Amino acid sequence: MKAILIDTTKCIGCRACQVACKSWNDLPGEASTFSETWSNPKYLDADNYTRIIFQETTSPKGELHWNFIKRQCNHCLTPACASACPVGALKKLPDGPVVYNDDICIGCRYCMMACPFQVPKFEWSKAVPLIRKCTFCADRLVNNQEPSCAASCPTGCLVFGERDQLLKEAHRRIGLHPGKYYPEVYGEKTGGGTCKLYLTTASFQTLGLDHQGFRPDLGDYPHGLHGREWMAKVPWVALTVGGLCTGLYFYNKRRGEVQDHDKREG
Amino acid sequence: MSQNAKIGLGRGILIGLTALGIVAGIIRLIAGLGATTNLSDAYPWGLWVSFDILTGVALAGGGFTISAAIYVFNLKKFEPLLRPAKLSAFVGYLIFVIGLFFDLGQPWRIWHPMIMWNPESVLFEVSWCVMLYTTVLAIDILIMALERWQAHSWVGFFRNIYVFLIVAGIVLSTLHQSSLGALFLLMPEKMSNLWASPAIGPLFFTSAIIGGMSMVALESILSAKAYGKKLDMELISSLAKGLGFALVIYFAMKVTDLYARGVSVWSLDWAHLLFYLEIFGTVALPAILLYMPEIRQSSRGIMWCAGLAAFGVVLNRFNVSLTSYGGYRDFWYFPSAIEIILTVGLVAQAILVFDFGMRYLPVHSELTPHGATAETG
Amino acid sequence: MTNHWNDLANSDCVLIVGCNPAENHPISFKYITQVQEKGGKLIVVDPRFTRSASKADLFVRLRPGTDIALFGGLINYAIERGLFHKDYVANYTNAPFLVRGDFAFNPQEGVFSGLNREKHAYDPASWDYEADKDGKPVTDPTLQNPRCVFQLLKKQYSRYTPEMVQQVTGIPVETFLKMADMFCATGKPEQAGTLLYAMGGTQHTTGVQIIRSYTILQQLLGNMGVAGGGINALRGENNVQGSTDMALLFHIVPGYMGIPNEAKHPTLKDYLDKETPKAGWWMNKPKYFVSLLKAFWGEAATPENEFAYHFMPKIGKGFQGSGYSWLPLFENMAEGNIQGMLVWGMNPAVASANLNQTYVALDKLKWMAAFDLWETDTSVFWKRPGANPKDIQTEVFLFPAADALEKEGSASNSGRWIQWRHQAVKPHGDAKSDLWYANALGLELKKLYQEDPKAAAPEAIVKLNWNYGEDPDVHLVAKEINGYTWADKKQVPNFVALKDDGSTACGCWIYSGFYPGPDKKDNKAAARNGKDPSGLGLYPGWSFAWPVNRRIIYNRCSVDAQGQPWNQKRALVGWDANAKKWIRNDVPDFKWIDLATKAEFPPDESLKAPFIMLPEGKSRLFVPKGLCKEGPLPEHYEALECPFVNPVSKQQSNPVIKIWKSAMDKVAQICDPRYPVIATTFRVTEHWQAGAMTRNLSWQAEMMPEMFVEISPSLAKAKGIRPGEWVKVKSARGEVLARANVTNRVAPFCCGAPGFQNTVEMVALPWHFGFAGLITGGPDKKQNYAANQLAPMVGDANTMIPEYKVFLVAVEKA
Repeated sequence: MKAILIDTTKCIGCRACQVACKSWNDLPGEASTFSETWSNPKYLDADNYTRIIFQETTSPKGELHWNFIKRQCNHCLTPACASACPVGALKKLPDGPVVYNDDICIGCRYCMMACPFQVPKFEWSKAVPLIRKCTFCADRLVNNQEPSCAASCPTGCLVFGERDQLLKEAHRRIGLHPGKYYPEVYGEKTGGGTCKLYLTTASFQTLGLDHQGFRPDLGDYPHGLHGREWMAKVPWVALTVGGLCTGLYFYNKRRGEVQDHDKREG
Repeated sequence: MSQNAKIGLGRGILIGLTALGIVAGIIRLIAGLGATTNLSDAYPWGLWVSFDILTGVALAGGGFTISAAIYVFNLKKFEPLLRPAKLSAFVGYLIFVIGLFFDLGQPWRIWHPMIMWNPESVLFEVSWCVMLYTTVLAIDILIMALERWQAHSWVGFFRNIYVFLIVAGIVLSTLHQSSLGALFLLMPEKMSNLWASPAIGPLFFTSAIIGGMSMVALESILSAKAYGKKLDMELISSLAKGLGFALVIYFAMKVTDLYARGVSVWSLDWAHLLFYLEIFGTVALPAILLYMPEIRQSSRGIMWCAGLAAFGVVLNRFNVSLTSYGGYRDFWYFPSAIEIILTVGLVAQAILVFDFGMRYLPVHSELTPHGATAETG
Repeated sequence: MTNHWNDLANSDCVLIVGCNPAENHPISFKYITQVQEKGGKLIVVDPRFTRSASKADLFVRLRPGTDIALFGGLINYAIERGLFHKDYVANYTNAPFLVRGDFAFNPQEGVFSGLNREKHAYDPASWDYEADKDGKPVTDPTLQNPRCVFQLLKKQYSRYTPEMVQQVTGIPVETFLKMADMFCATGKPEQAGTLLYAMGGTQHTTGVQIIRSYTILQQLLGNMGVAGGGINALRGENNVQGSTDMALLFHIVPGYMGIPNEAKHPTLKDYLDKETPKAGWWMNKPKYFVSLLKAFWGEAATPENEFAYHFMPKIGKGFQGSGYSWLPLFENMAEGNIQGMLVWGMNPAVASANLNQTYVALDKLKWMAAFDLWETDTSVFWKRPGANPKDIQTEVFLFPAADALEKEGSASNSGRWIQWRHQAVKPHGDAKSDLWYANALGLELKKLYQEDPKAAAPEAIVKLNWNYGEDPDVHLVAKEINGYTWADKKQVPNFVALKDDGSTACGCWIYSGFYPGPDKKDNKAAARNGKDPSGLGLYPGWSFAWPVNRRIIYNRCSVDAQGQPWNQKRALVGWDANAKKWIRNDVPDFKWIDLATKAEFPPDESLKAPFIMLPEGKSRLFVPKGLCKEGPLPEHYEALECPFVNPVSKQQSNPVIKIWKSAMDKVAQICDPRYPVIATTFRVTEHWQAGAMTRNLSWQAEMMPEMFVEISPSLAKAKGIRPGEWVKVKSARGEVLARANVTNRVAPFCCGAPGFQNTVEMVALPWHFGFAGLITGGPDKKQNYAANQLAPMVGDANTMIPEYKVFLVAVEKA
């Protein structure tokens, strides 16, 4: 299982990843306007699979901090989107990427509703729209190339590798610099675990990004599994309800016949 | 005569609204979702999902409810209500299917779930159940049509498999009525915890029964007025009693659910106000009212109570799918004109279809002799 | 750079001042991040809290243009607390040298001896070493003589107390002390601190002296010549190092040799006699200069005609005696003294200071030829907002240029690595490489001069040694730069083989050795051996670093007097006393081998001259002979436009800068009430220089689409400015519209001598925007969003670099 470790303490906000992503995926630049925070484009959408959130904060001591947090599809281990999709257009590949099949999607947008990170986006500007999101450069991975964002990162903020090894590295860094990092790896267990692992200086709640796609309250249980569990019950419910109905139907029918008979007899 | 003219005017308006809906639908298909709706990445689901799909199906729950009452719970007295209930269920599902068609990004791929399976997906199950149940309802309607055309051998054939249709109808409804709620099991964090419950499936199922019963009651009363027939007050009162009972059960379920999850229910934000309106205004209030015999035995009283209960189901579906959805806090959604016109057109179309069925199908045995001979000739 | 990019990782403490590498040299943070990972420190000194500052262990907010006060304070701190590297200072710098008795500095007046106030110039005669009978400098190895450089230095900077630093720079005393402790820790022999700077240091009327103050601190702390140390200029473009090496400057010829002067050097003999020092490596200058003449004029350059020296253009009085740098060029263009201009990958209509004057200057041109990837703001200057194209007679030609990936050639990075690039794709459309255009122009000029009987002095052109083919072969150019023997056209191995008798030709002596053989495989710039045997990131087999593939210059200073490395883990060179040999991880930058006998010199030989390029052989804490026009030691002066009275001395601004007097050269008064706010300009990652490259790329444009100005919350509140709204920023010279970026990243400065303290706001503007291209900086096509409409046309006294980084403005709601 491949993953990318995003050590936000090393991000300098150069946004080479944003451009590399557009370059590899051949996405158009958009006509934007000034952004107060400098984050631009201001949202992920069908033409923007990744973006850097610029977050300026002042600590209680009056120290200024400027955090740069990359956002993209987190490629969950148990993706809610794939669980939600009625036609199986979204699939988790064994080596990590959650990929999307243009040819079978019906455009129901349940994946957008289901994603705990609010990642899948719709081509609203098109008459025949499809879902768009970061692909983990699955088309590069099959050619033994790292994702274009990681390849373009100058500082080593984005490290591509095996998920378990990256987790070890993440915990090594936390252990080495206890004051520097928030002691949890976002994505290790979040929402059942993801292939994008975040190291941050503070929790996403403290950073004020909990409502910008980094919810800290997702728990460790993947929401996608709720669908699977529900579906596991469906056959039993069907059989029980069906059996009961059939039984009662015939019971009632028989009782009716007996009553009729009794009436005639009586 | 004056009565007919009124109906004529009403139909004219409905036909006009349906035509407008068709125009809106064509514009939607040509220009695309983004251009014609106010949907966005922040609100991927809007009016069409909340009303056409979720509400349409819930209010069409009368078909299986009455059917179950008669055949499973042996409440034979409700038999006169069965066929109108089935007809109203059918038009409800028509709203669903047509609404879904326009809501999909790739409408002509609406058949994909039949071939491309994802057995893990709740929506996959819903698609199958709705497809199958709509087929069952269509067969029910077909049987009525066959009776009218006096195709006796065919009617006989369907009578033989009737038990299968009944059981299938109940099973499929049980599954998808609850699964429509289970769709939201995947996104509890995005919803107000007033509605984000692991029990949302059973709650949806129960409220669909309420929706179905109240719609059957409403339709009976309204169609009796519209077609100038005498209302079987005793029957409707029984139904109202059942509705009251269902409301009490639903209220108890809601309270248990909220209590079990330890949700703080006392607050004055928008979500809570909507919640109070839903739980007190449209569940508790009609339940209390229906407890009073004088209300339960007046057609106006029943109409008000059933109306409140049905509105409660609508409100619940909107609350779950739209108002409690807090994905992005800095966005706002209100449906576009096209969304509203198409929805209104759908409802108008549904009433027209219902009206057509009421007039030309043997929905009430008394109606059959009239038009039947005239039309089939 | 004295060091190079990879070497930043070896540092114990990185001091970023006057530059913003996270934004403008992002790749540097690959190495700076490694420093921090190993527990090293990062200090960022900047008026603005930048993306670099966001990564810093210590951020120091400095009032723009007050670097000398800060570094004066650090020098004082290092000396007072004894934190400087004593052996290093004693052995490798000119600290022990005695200075002439008539040299003086007046601390109240703030000026050195020899100032002529009418001429705005010094007579630097007294700024020299005291010489003995043989003309050799007198030294005091104990550093106790009050006239030795060390004592002068100590005295000069004793005035820069932490309190004085705060009065001038606005840096709180405690922050200053924290910084001083952090960086002066690198004064320990085994520690290395590196200093990075760029235009935030140079673009001041005191630019050169600011950089000098950086170098003095680095010399005191013993950080020069060691791995992880040095003073490193981050060059603004990928090949700007190459352009200065090749002398795309008016005052030098290739290889940093001064350009001959009409009056001073009428003959080659005059030039060589006067410009060749008596000691140090520059004694070889005649070899390099004659080889350059030979490369220029080939057969026509003979010993009889002084190697065609008379063909070489010589600098005259220049415009108003000011040379041919940017300021005089445009001042004179505005006066109608220049007829035509070739604009080569440049965008003066955005980049120049005082743009409204620049536009007037461009209007006066008869013709302009622009070579660029896009239609730039400059190539359409005639239809800029507010101009009437009918009134402008300039004939403009726009030539499509091939971009970096469409042509083959070399680029020299800040670390002096000449890196070869192969052509990736054929040029788009009719685009041609810059070399192609230059070659075609050369050939055409040769033809025209040959054919025209009335041509003035045709021979200098006609006889040029110009044989690169019709479709020029870049390898021929590269080989000529390396140098070759004239008779048998053999590539020379390096500049040691160059001769002053006309038997060798060499286009740029410092590059000699990068292409030592005839074949493409001999091109060391294209070498891509990724091995790093020393583990110090030297990568000797990767490309070629001038000179002679030396990665870290002055590396004699990385070892002590006995040749033992200050830090074994960072050994660039080292003397193996048993084997009597030097261990060489890097190419030694000192006299280490007798080329004739191949015997290696012991360390005491090179101890005499660890800085081989300088005649005195020692690095210069004190710059003699007026090489820096303001004085031998940096002294703080305020920017020309300044809201504060200089707290250090009576001398408000640099006494020797040239103030231009044209009607367009308006300057705000000191503490001008009309312009109460300090402004500075900056760059962002998302845009490139004057913006022609990036404002035409939608991927770049979407990230930084509009002109903005960073405003502190307090200023925004005072002016009633809401975040994001358009505001007007006005200076004495012009005004510009910008979106208000209300942020704590800028803050007001509280400065001034006690009793005269004042809090002054600062705003900061990116200077990438303009009026042409895919995006201009705002929605209004009738607006010019270029920040440099505000900046003054006043420059440093030595380099004439304009003062873009400090000027005064007023901010108001648009």
